[in-house]
Amino acid sequence: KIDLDSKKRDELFNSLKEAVATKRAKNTKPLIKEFEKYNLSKEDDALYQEIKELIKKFKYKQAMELL
Amino acid sequence: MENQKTILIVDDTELNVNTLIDLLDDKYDILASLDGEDALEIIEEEDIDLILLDIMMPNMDGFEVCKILKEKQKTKDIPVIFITAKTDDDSIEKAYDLGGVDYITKPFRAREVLSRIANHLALSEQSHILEEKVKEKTQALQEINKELEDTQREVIFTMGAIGERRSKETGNHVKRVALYSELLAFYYGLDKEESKLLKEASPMHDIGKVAIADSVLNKPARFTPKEFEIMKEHATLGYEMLEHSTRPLLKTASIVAIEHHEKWDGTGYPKGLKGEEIHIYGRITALADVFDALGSDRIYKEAWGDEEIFQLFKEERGKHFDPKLVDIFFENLDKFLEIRDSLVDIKTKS
Repeated sequence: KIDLDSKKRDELFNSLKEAVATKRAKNTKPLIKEFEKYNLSKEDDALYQEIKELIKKFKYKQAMELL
Repeated sequence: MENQKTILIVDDTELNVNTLIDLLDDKYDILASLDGEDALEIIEEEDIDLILLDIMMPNMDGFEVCKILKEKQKTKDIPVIFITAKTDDDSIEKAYDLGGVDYITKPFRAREVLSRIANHLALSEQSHILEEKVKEKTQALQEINKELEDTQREVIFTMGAIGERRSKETGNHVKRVALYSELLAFYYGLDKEESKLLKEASPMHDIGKVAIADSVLNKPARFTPKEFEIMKEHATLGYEMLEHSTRPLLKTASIVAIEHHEKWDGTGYPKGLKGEEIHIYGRITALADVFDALGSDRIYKEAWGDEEIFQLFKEERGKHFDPKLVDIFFENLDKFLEIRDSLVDIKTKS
């Protein structure tokens, strides 16, 4: 997996936030794929895993609260 | 993509939802939910064109979701297709009873789902187009109807004004009589609509005067008994001009024309009707007309002062006028005077 610098990290989380706001799987799926390419810090990974689970269950409102 | 129809998939099994998303995502804008409560929340926030709804779900099943949707104005027209493993007749019947447009059983055939969705979206769109067209046509008809009513009102008012003008009465007389009549009608207990109808019809009370000879109509002195008999004919003449119409406004005007010279004690004309034999429209216009006539200059007399008029009204309570109407008049005197003051005649040299 690729290491993430802080700029790319912020970029990814911002894009994920925008996608989650649309409540559409079509928009979140490519971002989940993108996230999987990178090594995340322990805290970021915990956050991402939680958000990923919520997205999987289409719980966008709750995912949004975490973002 | 713009103009894509939005479909909401509601199913508690992730696999089912994802299968449907994969099937539909290319053609439609897809939203999804794994439970009924979340689905209702999404429906409130988004414009949904069609719902694919599972029945067996924890907490709130598909039937309950559908029932709630069909009870709300905003969501009642969204087509709901049930998509479920339940194949029993009762469930199918209940689904349609609750307002579902279709029922697809699992395992489903992709082609069938696509076709049914496309069909119901097309039907729904057609229905919306039709509704819009009906709305437009209804609005257009309402506008035409309003135009007709306005024209009718204007013609009636103008005819009344012509009648008054011919007898060289004051220009605002019909306007004031109209407003006094409406006020009396409303306080007497007629509803707002009927009071308004009388307001619009009362300007026609003297329309029969157009058929009275000028030599009588504009005589600047007291009538001889023979002339008075001719003058009295204006009530019946007015009625005959209007009675053939079936329109409520003209029907009302015909009653006003023939009965506005009847008197409560039976000494009026043309029929000598008594008390409540006289239509309320006639009794009201009689009082409104006399109040205005006495307070105005006429070719044969000068305007009376208020005290003289009030004294006459008190004396004529139960004689010329319906006592209840005289009471209403005095109880609301300020309003009648307000109308009179707002429509003062401008004196012109003749």
